[in-house]
Amino acid sequence: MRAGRVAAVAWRDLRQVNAGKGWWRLPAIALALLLPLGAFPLDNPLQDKPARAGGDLPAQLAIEERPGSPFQLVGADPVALHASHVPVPLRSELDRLEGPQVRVERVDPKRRLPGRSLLVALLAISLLTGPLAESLPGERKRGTLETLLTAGISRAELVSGKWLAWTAAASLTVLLVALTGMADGTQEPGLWPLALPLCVGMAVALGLWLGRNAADEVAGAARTMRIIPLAALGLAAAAYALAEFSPALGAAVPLGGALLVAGDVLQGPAVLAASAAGSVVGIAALLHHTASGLSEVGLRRSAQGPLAPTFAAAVVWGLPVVGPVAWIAAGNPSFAAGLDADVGAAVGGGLLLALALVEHSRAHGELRRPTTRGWLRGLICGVALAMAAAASGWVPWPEDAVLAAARVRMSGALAPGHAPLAALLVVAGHELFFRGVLQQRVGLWATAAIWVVIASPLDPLRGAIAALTLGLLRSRCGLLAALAAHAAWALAPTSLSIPQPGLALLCGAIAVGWAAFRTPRLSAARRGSSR
Amino acid sequence: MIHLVGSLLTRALREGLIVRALAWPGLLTVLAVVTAAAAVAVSEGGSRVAVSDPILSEALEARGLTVVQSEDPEQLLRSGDAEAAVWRDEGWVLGLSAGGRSALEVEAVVRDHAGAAWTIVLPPLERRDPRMGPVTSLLLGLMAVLFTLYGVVFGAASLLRDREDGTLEAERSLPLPDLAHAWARLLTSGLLLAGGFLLSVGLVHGLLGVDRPFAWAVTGSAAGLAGAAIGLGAMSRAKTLSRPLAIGMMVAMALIAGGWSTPALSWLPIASVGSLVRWDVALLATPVFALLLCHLAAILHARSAR
Repeated sequence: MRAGRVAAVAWRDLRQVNAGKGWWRLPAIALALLLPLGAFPLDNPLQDKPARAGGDLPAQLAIEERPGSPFQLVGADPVALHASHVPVPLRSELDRLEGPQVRVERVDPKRRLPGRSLLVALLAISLLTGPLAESLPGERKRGTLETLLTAGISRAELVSGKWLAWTAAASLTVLLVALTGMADGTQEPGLWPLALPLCVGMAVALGLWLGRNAADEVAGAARTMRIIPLAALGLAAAAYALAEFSPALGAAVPLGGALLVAGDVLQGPAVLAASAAGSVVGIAALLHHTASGLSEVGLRRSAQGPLAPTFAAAVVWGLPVVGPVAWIAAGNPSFAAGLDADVGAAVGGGLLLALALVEHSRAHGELRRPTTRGWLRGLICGVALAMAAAASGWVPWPEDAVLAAARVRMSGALAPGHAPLAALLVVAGHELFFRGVLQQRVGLWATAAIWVVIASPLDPLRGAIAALTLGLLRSRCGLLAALAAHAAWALAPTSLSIPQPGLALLCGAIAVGWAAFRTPRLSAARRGSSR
Repeated sequence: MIHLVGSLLTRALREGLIVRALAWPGLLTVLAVVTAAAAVAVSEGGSRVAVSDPILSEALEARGLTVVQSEDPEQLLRSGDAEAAVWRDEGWVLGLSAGGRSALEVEAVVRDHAGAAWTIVLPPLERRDPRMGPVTSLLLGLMAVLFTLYGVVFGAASLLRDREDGTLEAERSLPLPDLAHAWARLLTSGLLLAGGFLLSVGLVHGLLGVDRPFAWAVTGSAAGLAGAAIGLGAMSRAKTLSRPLAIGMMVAMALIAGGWSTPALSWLPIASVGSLVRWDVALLATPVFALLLCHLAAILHARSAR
């Protein structure tokens, strides 16, 4: 690789993206966004002047009375502070009281929380999506990529030059922000600024790799904007988990490790070296793959693939249904209990329904109408599913409060007993997406497995019974029969449920068997129609 | 007419950008809230308190805290095996490596145990803090503003695109009155925006609780429909997108600001978004006036065809 040519490509790329805008505009925008985040001191609301809403005070305290203050002081010996947090100035004032004292000492935690520099690194990475979308995809759209590929430079030099251009420009910007932050005392001094160029370099390499076969800037921007932030957060989480075993191991995770070092979560020269090594390997691998993939001019489209809609379904169902459990995990179970589970189920069902409509409109699909026998079979199977609600009663429930709550919410979202509108949205969303869209693409067994993982991961036995019943109905009698079965299951009175797990399991087996059973008359009708 | 709306809806649903734009605001908000709650859970979860005093240990356990008995609590804290520790050094010392409610609970118990000059009384955790109301209102207000601006863009950009690629001419050759074409477009935009906004309200209501979810659903949907009418009306005689978009955005933002500052304007669609964040809204009047605005835009659109 010839350094002069790499530098020439870098200079050309910077000039091309800045053409007609003025060379100063991009760095100025980046600095305008990054400086307030990384180098301006923030007000700390916990440092407010001490105030109290009311109450009598010993004479030696000077605490202003302010209506609406969240701090209430009651009594004199001792003074009782009614509050959900204690600001530092208020604490200092109260510590002047005579009597036994409790000294509160802050100790550095074993695992540090990320500093503001992590936000600076993440924002710097996000700002790169625009130039990276213009770099290779822009060349491809303008037709200049072919010219460059036939010129006297290698693909590695071309890709390295583009990487160098944006890594150098963005690194200089973030380093300037970091040094300003350290100089004005906003950020603590340390080795963390050295990891910022590692984050930027990895993000640029990832962006070039993502845009290597994009047809134009729009396609390039769509990929980089969606994938780079997700990759950054996912790899940072992975690095954080690995750092539990060894900080160097966590730091070596490309991009994620560098982000944690830049955020001052992982500290020390050894960690920085591990992060540099991991980043160099990651960057080299991505640039190599980008260079070798440049000639893939024919773009692959995966519009009909099952992966993206399945992931989307997991997110849109999981967030509203299980999301409130996060309050329990965060220590406020009463808040979670006050949220209406029906709303979560209805919204999850509505989002699944919207997703199904989108996929259906793209696939140009049609609904097959079941025969009368198909309707009947669907209704019987639905009632059998309602009777089998306690089928997994003998399976031990998790003792952990968060998992138990998640299981209740997930199972509850599928079980009878909802408001009719919520139940109908859940039924329509699940059946139209899973049985209507996904089963056509990946088949009965894979759909059943995916449905159990997404809809009933903490009650897999009952989930499997329902998934098989509904999936078999879909393949035997059509989507409307599966819809009828799910509607009957969801709208059936809860009193239908058989409390004995053994009998309930038998009902579940009957539901599956009845859905799988193929009557000769229906087969004959099908044969007749096929002739 | 119904078939026209159906086909316009199908076309819109095939556009990944539109679907993502409608789904992301609510999903991202909820994802951010859940992630923040999970971060709190990770940073505070499983807090262990190291103590040497058995009586204090009992008092802490009675408050549901996890206690580790040790001769040297300070050492456990500094080695990272506990998140809080209590020891004696002239007076009582409470060492903490994490903050939050559990740390304050430990401090409250220690202060009571030590007979300190001042103590802490933590308020019970409420089902829903009343201070959440204005916060969720502001959140939904921002989403409604976003959906209004979506409406302006949908109304103007879809008309321009169909005009440029000849779809509009083909559509106008259908045996339908001129007004029906504009109404079909507006109904399509309205249905999409209302669906997206309803799901967003539901997402926020399911996770944070909203004081008046029905009022928000009606107001936001009417604002989206009115935004589409403004976009379509502004685009009906224009040749390029820049002018109608600028006009539409300015009118929409001016209405929101008007509604925010003047409660008397709360009957106007879009202005009602600003009003609802701060005051109240005329729930019945807003959709009616949104429909009137649609009819006005449809007339402008029909005249532009002649």
